[in-house]
Amino acid sequence: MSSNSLPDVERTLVFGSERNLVGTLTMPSGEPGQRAPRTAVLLTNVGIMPRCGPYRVNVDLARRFARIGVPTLRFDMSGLGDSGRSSGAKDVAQQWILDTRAAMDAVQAQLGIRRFIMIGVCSGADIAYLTAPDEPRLSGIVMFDPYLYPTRRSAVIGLVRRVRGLGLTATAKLMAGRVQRAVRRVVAKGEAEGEQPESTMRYGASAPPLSEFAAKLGATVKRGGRVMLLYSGSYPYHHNYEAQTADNLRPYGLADKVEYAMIQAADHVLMGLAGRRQFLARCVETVERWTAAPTPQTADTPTFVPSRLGAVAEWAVTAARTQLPAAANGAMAPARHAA
Amino acid sequence: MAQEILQFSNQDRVMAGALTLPDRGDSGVGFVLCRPFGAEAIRSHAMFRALATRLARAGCATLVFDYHGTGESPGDAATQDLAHWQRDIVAADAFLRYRTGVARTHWFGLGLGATLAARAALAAPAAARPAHLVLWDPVENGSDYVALMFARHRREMERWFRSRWDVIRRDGLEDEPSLPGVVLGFEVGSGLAADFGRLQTLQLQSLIDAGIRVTIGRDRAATAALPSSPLLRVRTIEQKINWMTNHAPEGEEYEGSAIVPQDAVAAAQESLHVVELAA
Repeated sequence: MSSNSLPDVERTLVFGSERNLVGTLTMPSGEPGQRAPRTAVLLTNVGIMPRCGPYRVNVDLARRFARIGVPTLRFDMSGLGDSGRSSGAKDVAQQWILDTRAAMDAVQAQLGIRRFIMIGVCSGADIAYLTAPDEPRLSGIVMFDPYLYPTRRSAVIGLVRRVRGLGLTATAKLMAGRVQRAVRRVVAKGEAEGEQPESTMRYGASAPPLSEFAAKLGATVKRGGRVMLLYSGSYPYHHNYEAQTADNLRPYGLADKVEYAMIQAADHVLMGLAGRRQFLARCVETVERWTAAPTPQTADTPTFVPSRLGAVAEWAVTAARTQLPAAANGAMAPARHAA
Repeated sequence: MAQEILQFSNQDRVMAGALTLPDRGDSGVGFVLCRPFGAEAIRSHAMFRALATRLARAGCATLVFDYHGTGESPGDAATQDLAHWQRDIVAADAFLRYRTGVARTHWFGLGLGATLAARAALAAPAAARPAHLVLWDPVENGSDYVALMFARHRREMERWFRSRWDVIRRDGLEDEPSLPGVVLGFEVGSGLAADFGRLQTLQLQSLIDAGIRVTIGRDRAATAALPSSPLLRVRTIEQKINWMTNHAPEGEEYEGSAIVPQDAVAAAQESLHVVELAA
């Protein structure tokens, strides 16, 4: 997929109180009519993939945002990509929340921007979701394939799909095995499962209970943050209809307070072209809309308190660009450069 | 050990890289690490970082970088081809020598990165050539490589959608992969597609004739046909790793992303020992 070429300005940055974090800042392309940016986008790792994202999707996103006048910092969390590990002893999620705040500090120090939208895919969605409730600078989060919470309807749709795909006999065997394992689990625990819908695994990561997920989303919404949940078509047995998100969140009064969509053609890591195009378009449309309209205010919206800037003094660009001396036919003459 | 995140450029081709410098025990050798193509470059990122660290501990300044139009480097993937990336390797080598003062360099390449390193070494002026090439699982036949990518592409989509490829096609979820176009999530422009079509051999004998030491890691079955020379060391690949997709073909390969194949790291480290003996 063509990302178009420059004039996007892409610079590598090193930041954070330990100067262990690495990111790439993509600046607006400066096309006529672009206003000074007031919001920046944050992008980060997907699983353990580096900050360019699967299939370089974060690069593509950043360049598209540059063309609508929105700067982007895509960064590696501690220990991933080019970022070094933190010397702290926090658990991974807590550390990555701190890293996300440090990324905001870095952009704020560089550009004076103090409103951010974070777009997270898979594990990146988890960090956006965990950071947002208590971070007033995060005016919106877009989560792609966050946690999955089946409903009765999704279970029926999933069962029909299994029967179509595997046949009746194979599906019956599969289901019998699952029931058997579930019974064994209940007997072993000596207690019945709770009333909450059981959370499912999402590519190896266990999910929090739906009540906890909804509580954090609710806290973000309550302070005026926007939330978009996007789901791929990679979970045909667990998340398989667009209104499933609303069905999940309705008991918590959030069904009409968050935005959601299902991109059926997209796979979980956005490898397929058709789905990726839809994902990119949806992200650009969302960022354009959210940056154009004022953030909805609530009575509980706190005023921004610039008190989280302890790391700013440590931030510095060390990634100087070196232009090598003239080369013949595009190839360097190393002898000239040897010490 | 210190790491610098940097950008360097050769004319209008800007590249992002990470330079890892040893604390002590300068071996006098610099290493240029050449990433593979596309999804393989993304999924082997952790392996390259670990390799740079190991080599720095062995006293080597090490530069790992993204070819222009790939990874974190500026540029458009669709306009790249093998010749451009070969020149990027030579430029990276020149930058490493310029920045650290090393006079002797070794190049390590994985997959298509190995192929590019071999071709770049042959195309470079004599003074710009590496003393030693470590070529790990190189792409030798471009058509076979493209066919493998197509097969993995279809299979990966089947895994993600839990459906058969013909059903995915019928439902309009994904097109049949073709080049020029997008395969395994990465765009291959007309120049690169044509290069893949022309790529047939690794020209090992030409490298040996040019006096370049070569260590090659290959599947056991593919080691028999290699030329015999004191300049050529052959290692069989003990850990066959799938760097292309999230899902490794069952029972065939290990999944990549978080794996650092010890045999590849050992091959790079051993190339330093060979230099010491020769010196």
